[in-house]
Amino acid sequence: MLIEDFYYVKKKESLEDGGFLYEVSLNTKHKVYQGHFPEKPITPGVCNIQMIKELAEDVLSKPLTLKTIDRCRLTAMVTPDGSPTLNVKIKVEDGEKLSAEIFFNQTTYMTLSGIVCDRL
Amino acid sequence: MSAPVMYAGEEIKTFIPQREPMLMVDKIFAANDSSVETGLTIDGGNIFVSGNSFSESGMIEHIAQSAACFAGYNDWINKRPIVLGYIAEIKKFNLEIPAKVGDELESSLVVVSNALNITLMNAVTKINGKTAASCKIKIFMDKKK
Repeated sequence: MLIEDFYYVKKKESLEDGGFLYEVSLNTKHKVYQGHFPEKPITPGVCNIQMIKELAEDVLSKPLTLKTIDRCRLTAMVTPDGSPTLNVKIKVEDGEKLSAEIFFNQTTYMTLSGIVCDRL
Repeated sequence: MSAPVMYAGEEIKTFIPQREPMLMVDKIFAANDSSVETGLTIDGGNIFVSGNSFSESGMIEHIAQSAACFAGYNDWINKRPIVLGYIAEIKKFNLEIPAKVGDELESSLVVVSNALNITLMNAVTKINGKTAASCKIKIFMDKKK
C-alpha cells in the first residue's frame, strides 16, 4: 500500500462475471485528512484511484501502473466520517482492461475505466 | 532552462486550501483567466512516493491542484473567497514517463470550458521538457458556502 494504513480490506469475494468485490474500511484518523482539508476531512479522489489500482494488483498478483484512464467519474463525495465503509468492484479483462466501481448501498462514488500494465 | 517563478512555497497556500501532507503544487510560473503553469519538485518525503517512484495518483493530484490554482488565482485576483474544489471527472489520462524523486514537474493547463462551478481543462505535465502525463480534467468548485 502506497499510503500506509489509508484503508483496510475487510472482505473479498469473486463475482460470476469474473470480477471481484471488495469491502474496505477507511482509516478515518489518517494524516491525509490533516491537509485535505484542515477543517473538512474529505477523502481525496486520487486516493480512491490509488486504492482501485492496488486492488487490481491484488487481483493480478503483481505490481501495476495505471497507464491510461479512459474515464474516471467522481459522482459523490467520500468522507471518512460519512462513508467509512466502501465496496469496490474490480474487473480486469485480457490482463489489462480495468473497470472499477466504488459504491456503498445505493450510492456510487466513483467509476473508472482504464488500462493497467506491469509497473513502469 | 526553467521559467521565472511567480509564486512559490507558502505563497501557494493563498490560492488553494490543500495543506501538508497533501499539497502537490509548489510553484506557479504563470496564471491568467484562461491558463495556468505550475510546478512540483518531487521530494523523497512526498506521501505519493514509494522507494524512488512518484505514483500516477500523485501525478493526477498535482494536475488537479494545478487546476485548483487556476481557479484560486482567478478568485483571488477578483477578490473572491478561495473555496474547496474537487475532481469531477478525468478523461484520457495517459502516463508516458513515471516521475521519480528529484524530478521537477512542469504543468501547463488551458481552459476548455468554464461554466458556473465547473471548469474543464486540458493538462500536460512535463519532466525536463518531455511529456510525462496528460489528461482532461473537470473540477467542481464548491462556491455555495
